[in-house]
Amino acid sequence: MRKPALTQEDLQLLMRLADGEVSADEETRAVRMLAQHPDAHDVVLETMTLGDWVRETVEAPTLGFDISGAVMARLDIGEKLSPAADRPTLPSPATAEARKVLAFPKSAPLRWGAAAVAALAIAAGIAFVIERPSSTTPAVAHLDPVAAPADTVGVAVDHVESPNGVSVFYLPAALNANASSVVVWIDDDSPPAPSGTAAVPSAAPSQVLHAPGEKK
Amino acid sequence: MKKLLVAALGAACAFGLVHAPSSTGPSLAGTSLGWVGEARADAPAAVNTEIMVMHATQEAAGSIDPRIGNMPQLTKPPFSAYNAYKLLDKKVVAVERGKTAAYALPNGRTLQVSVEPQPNKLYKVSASISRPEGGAFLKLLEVTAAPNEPFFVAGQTYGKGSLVVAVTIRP
Repeated sequence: MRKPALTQEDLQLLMRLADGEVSADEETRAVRMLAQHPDAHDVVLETMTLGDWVRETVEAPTLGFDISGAVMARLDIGEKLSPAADRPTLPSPATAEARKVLAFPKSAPLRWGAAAVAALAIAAGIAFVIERPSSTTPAVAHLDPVAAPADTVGVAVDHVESPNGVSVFYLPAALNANASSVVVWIDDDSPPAPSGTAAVPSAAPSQVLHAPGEKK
Repeated sequence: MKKLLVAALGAACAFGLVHAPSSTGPSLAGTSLGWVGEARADAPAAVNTEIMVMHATQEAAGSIDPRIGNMPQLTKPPFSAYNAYKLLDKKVVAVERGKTAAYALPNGRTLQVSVEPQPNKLYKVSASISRPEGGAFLKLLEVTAAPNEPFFVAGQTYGKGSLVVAVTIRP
């Protein structure tokens, strides 16, 4: 039998849990909810993902070229939207390890800083959604300018479309260390993306580089 | 969390106001109509476009073909996955505005390139690679490039390695 939908109160509790702001009683309730309600996992994971991103950004707010001259942005195209089963699973909430995972720092300055950064992230997300083409053609990505690493771009990818898996890498350009050149790496061996698969542009500059041939 | 959301919403609204469309200057990834008009007025009829095809392989002793010239990108990721680069072909094609230039790749596929001058001496370059048996390997790639800055299309299996195609506008 399907569990009833989470109430507003449940959602708030789960978000507070992800923020580490729950009392002992509330934590017990939340953990029980996590164990019983599949949607509760998603709520906590999404909240935690935002929190992780915020913390990483606050700690390293400056974007730039990697010391090794490597990659500032990567775009995977043609990957399937992760079904729920493929999402990272939360450790058993009943364990102490789970509580450790769920515990967030409670530093007020950090939280206000995080709020500002989160605001920018949301705004950038809104801008991206607004400017995305309405087409949902598979393996198509329109790169919003915010995805480009800097205003000193020698080459910027505006659009890439292939039936195969595509990665876009930004490298320092040969002629100007402040500019960038672009490598569009198309996986010749990857099977064409199935029809109907939505592209998932994720050009966050902090993403990790996968060398060609390396398992992604 | 509530504080965070409220602050986020406020800042998002502020960002939306700041982000309102403007035509006060050129953008690398987008161009206002005014700029397009200005660019077309003095744009050349054809743009020299260099196409360089390299074969990347992994060898016991790495080397970069001296005919490739100075291309430090080849020593950095993702190219550093291979340690040997051999020049297969290098050609400058005059790509006429509004037309597409076709270039036969050594693997039998065809690279098609079109170039449209943009403001501030930038160029909108469109490229595609079609398979001889039909269908596209690269259906469409659109980049905005500064002159003499190469962009690369890599990953096509060729021999024991991979093809790397470098496209550079040489006005």
